[in-house]
Amino acid sequence: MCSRPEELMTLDTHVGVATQAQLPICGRCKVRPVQFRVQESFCAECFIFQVCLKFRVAIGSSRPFEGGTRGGRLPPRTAAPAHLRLPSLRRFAVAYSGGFGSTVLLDMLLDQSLVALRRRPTDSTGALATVSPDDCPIGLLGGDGGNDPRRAVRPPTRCLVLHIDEHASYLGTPAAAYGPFAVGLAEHVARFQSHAVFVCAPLELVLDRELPCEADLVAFSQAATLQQWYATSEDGAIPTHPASSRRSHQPRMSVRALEALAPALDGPRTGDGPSAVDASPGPLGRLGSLRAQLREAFAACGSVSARDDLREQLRWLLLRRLSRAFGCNLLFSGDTKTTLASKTLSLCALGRGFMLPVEAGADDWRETDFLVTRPLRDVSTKEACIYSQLRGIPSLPASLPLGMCPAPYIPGQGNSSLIGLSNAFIARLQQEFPSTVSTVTATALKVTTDAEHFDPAAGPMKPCLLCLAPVPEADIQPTVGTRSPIGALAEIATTERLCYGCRTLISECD
Amino acid sequence: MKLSIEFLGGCEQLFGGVSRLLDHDTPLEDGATIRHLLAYLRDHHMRARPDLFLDVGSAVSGATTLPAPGASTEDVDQQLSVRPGIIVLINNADWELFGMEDYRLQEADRVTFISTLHGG
Repeated sequence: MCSRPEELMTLDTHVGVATQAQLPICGRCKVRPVQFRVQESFCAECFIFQVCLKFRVAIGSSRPFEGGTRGGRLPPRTAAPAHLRLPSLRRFAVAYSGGFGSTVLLDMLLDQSLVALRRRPTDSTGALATVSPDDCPIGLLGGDGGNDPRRAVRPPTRCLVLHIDEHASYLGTPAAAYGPFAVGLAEHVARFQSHAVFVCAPLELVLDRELPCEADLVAFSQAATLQQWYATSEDGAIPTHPASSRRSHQPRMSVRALEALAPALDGPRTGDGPSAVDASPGPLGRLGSLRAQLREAFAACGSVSARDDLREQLRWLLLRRLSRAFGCNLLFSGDTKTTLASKTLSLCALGRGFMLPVEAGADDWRETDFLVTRPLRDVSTKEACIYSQLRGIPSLPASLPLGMCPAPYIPGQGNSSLIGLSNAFIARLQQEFPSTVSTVTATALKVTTDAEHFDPAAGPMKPCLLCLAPVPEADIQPTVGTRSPIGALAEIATTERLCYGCRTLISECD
Repeated sequence: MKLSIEFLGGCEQLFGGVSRLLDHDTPLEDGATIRHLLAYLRDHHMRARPDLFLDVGSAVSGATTLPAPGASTEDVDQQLSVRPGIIVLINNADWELFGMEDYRLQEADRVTFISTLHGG
């Protein structure tokens, strides 16, 4: 890394003003005092405008849908191969983890007061521009050819927000540890109830070989509301009818009780209560065994890095499956610039460097009919954090005991994961050299791969069974001596269709 | 000196679940800086894992671990900072505008610590 000349140190951020009265005026609006410095100095209103602008530019540059040429004035997006262009938007989903990235993403997508922040506030009151209720950032994704693209793609009334409960994969963590996070999440969810359907699914569901049908997932969203799912009491009352779950004051239900209700949720709803139906247990009824399998798999992981990597792969596999089950062909991810920079390093360290264009890039095209897009790729985590604070979005407590997600790097201590090490490296380097994150992400965007790699019909490529990455036939090798203790992954482990990164991961689960 | 201190984004776990100390009466005197506040929080309010919140400022001292309890308090305090990835706001403004750890606290200041390392 280049050194900084001594004369530049006098302009460093460590030399600051003593009081707020001495703060300079924002260079953009020239009205309000500066409040934040992220590459540039902004007042609060200009900061929000700048972050929203980055979001809209990013979401507009994707244009994955056919005909998204904005009336012919702009060329089709060339980065995505032609065979990967989606015909139309069916439904879209948002991957919501509760972190700052996904929180800001949800706010920007669903808060109608922000959907069309057209002009920079210039008046002395700092009032934000008024918006039209018809505007929506989803419209920037493209539309029917010949029509106004922002009108043609009409977003669904409600979007699907997916949260994956991963606490079962953290060994030794009781469900009650998730309680404060669940309470905070429920309060946050209430802000967007009119615009979104929240589905909270446990990670162990990915091991269910029977892909959840929409009826099962609807049961998840109706009955397994957050206050019921994360019970703080084992003696919660059981509602007599799934429709009762829509009442505002929900009885706390333990997971065990929820499993007992499973037959009623899967069968026809007669209104007579659980005793009136008898159906094969759905995913709720199988959760106990799935959870045990998941814990067994993570206990068998040979290293902390393997556990974090496995968790990451299973999480995204489940997100994709759930999105598809709900009929979505577009999934928004709240990955920020900082997250992507860390991911760039960790992917290379984990043997997944060949997936940089999709894992750390703007869009994830590994599936021909499903897109994962990252509209916050130009927003740093610090910007997302400050944005949340300014917008008054309540901060969620940590979802797990600190030091677990992922295992952070502590100087002088061992037992950290590669992902945690990458996070710490980027964070520390960014503190001293503020252009680190931008440089790493810009470099990762330059990494390309042949378009044929993502078109199974064009060449001898098969998707990896775990991460869906394209695996050239020449690289397929039998996974010799690999055995996984969990049922679903055992099937994967005994076949040959795994990419290098997943083969390495599964071998550590032996 | 009375200060309002907030812990957000997961930091509250390190302080026994306390997310806000509003109008908290601290023993800090006039001229105290953010470093003194960090030392005070470490000694009186932190319940677990100080290594997840504090940093020794290895860029200055070259140290890679937090100093032993027997180290001189004055020396330690000069090195204290927050761990990279924790954002500090002073009266809802970026602490980088005020000189970061060298900012001299004033009566009724509101200091917010937000962790970007934890959570989802």
